[in-house]
Amino acid sequence: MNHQPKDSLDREIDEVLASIAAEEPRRVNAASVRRAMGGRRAALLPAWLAAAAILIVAIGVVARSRTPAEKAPEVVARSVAAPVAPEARATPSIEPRPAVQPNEPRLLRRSRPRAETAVEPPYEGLPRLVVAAIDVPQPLSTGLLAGESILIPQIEISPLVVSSLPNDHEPKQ
Amino acid sequence: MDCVTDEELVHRAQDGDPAAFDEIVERHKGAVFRAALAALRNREDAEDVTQETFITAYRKLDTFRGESQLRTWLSRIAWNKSMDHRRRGRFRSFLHLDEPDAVELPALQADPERSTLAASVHARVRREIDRLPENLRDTLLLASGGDLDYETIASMLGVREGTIKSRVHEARALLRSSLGDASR
Repeated sequence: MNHQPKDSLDREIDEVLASIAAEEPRRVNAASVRRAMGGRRAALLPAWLAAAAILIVAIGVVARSRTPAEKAPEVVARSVAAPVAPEARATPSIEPRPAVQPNEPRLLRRSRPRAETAVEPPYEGLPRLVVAAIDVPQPLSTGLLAGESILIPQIEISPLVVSSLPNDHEPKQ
Repeated sequence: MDCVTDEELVHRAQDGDPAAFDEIVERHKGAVFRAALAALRNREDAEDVTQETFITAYRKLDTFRGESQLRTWLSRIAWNKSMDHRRRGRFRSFLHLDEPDAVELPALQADPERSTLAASVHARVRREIDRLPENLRDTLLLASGGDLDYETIASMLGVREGTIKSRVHEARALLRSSLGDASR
């Protein structure tokens, strides 16, 4: 191909630039924009609901996980200070008394500490039951008997002798 | 609604008239699309950006004070979105997807041989445009769109108006040079 004149190149460039400048969107119009806005709003609504639900659950989890650690000392203190009924002193029950009264708030009841940490203090002034140690008997053993073997003497048995009996019952001829 | 000014349309849309905003979309979608196409050089991505631009414009319509023209305001939104798009690297090759548009010439059926030749020439020019440095290419395409004046393009690109003129000149010179070399 020969060297193209400048005018020709400029014309080609201008044509291409004009074709680019004449481009119009094919699928974007007022209706599509409105649809997209509506769709985005509808898509955002479940997202907000999901976010709110996650937030509520997260707050609940955090509140539950933080409560025992924060409330435990308070419960123990209440347990120590609680008066012990005289009956309880006289007849200590085996069942540990609940550290939290039934009419206490639900949150405190939930945060009741474990027995080994919170139940111990109320019994400090009570007489402890002393159970005498039981002597454990020697275990039964079946050792070998070192005696003579049991001998069974032979018994002499004389044969039975049957004397002939008078035959009274012979048939009569 | 053709005789209604942009300013009046904006006021109506701000007052909640959906038909006014529809008219804004129809009136300016071409300019917004071309600004996005200049940046992204891909039709599909430019359409997406055009759609996003009008959604953003609808939400931010209360912030439009009329200090600039509505078309300029919308084009700025489109340009910023296109830059975000470009940074994310989501644009595809200009040549591969936009070449079919370039062959949509009126003489295609009348003289197939000549049309094919023209199409190949156009494709070559587009390829050379695509090879231009980014700042020259953006400027050339925005300036060639005819929707925005040099002052607006200069403020969109963050340069002086004189820079726009020199970039357009330089871009054309580079194209001529590369096309001339290629045709020898």
